[in-house]
Amino acid sequence: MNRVGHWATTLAVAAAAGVGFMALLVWSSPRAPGESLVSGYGVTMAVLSTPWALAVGILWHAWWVRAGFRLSAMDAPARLLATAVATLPAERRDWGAAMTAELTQVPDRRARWRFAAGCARAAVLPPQRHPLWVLTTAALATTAAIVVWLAVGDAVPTMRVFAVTFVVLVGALATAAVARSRRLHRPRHGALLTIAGLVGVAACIAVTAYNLRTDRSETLASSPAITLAVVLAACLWLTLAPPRALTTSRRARWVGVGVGLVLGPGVFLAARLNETNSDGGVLIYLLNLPIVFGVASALVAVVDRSFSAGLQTTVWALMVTSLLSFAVFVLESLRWYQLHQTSLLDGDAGNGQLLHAAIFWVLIAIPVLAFPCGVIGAGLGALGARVGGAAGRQPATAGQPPMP
Amino acid sequence: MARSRRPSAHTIAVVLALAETPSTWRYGYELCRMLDVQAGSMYPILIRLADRGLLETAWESDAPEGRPPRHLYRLTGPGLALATELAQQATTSVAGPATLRVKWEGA
Repeated sequence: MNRVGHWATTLAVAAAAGVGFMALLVWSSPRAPGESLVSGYGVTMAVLSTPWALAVGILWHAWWVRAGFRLSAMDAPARLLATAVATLPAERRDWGAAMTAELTQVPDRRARWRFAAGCARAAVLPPQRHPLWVLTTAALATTAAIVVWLAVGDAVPTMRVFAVTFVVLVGALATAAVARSRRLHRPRHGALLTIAGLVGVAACIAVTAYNLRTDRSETLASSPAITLAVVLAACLWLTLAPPRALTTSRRARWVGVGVGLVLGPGVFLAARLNETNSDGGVLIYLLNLPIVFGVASALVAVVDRSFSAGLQTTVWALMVTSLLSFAVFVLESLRWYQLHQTSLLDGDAGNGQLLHAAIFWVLIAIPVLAFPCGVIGAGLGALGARVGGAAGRQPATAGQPPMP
Repeated sequence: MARSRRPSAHTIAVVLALAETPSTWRYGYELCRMLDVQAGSMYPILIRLADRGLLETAWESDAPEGRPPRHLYRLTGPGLALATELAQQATTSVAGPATLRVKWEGA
């Protein structure tokens, strides 16, 4: 597919997604009398879906350049095997290369399919040196879930769904990690990121428990509880066992963590400034975060001359910022509510809904808005680096006398 | 600590096939065809044998231009000892594979 076709397809998919999103809005939230379809729904759709459409287009383009073009030159069995082999843990990659090389020697199509499917199965579920460890990890995870169910049920009953879901998810991830890796090893992507992630997850759990124990009117319904557990488990996984593709740029990790360490505690400052200027300053602060992610990702992409580095910056900045912002936001919201009996975000009555607001705004809305901004920033940064690099090389070659 | 464990029939077949001509390097697909074993079973067996030091692996050094080098396999010393043990047990055993137990780990 050429470049025009690529972007035309992207735009068509984005338009279809936008129309679908608008239909969903109309269906789930019927129009008020007199409300315009265009201004009421069309603008919302455009604001939310356009950055995502651009981001998806950029990601698709990056994937195509990196892997899609290579895959397109293969037949379907080779594509299946290449995809499966990419999931192998680092210490098993030579086996993936062995399978791939062997497939080139398999002649007819049917045999290729059979060989590729078998190898793909072996790649996705590589054998274990110590199957007992897997069973032990699964048993420990199950026991931990039961213990947490009983212990948290006594101490903080409203936290039970969250706690059990979190432990089950972490247990499942730990079991999968032990099952897929030949040996456990320390995270190799930097102590700062590991510490920031672990402290962030621990802080989120601690403030949730503190909030539920301190304010007895506070609730944590099943859906937000499960959402919180999923987000924290995902952050824990990213912290301890991130995909290789997210750990190639040291600069991205440093900038990402640095952005998070500044922006997360920045919620504290915004909340305290809210005291003197009660006009939803925290909400404005949160809604401006995506711009910072975009700028940070663009800068790293320019300096590293790499879209991937910019994307990594977005992921790490988003993770650390979300975790720290959530912890600070919950504490500040609780303090604000005890002082003013209103919500820190908008001044409305926020009785018992503090955690729900924190989960929605800090862990869902901000990442949903920030991620495409980061991707666009990374894309612009990489494009700028390429254009700048080409311009920088131009005079040198232009100044050379033509070769005879 | 050595662990006694009965290898699968496919594993025994692979070990014995490799032991037929111990100095010859074999390919994965070649073994699949020789023994009529699917790749989904063959590669986990090869990986386990290599993990346990029973299988020596190498990359083809003279691959033709435009083709990736293939992975080659042959038994190590302990692998050959295991093959001998397996062959002896297979011939002396009258009760069938249920009595076939070999030192599988730490060989």
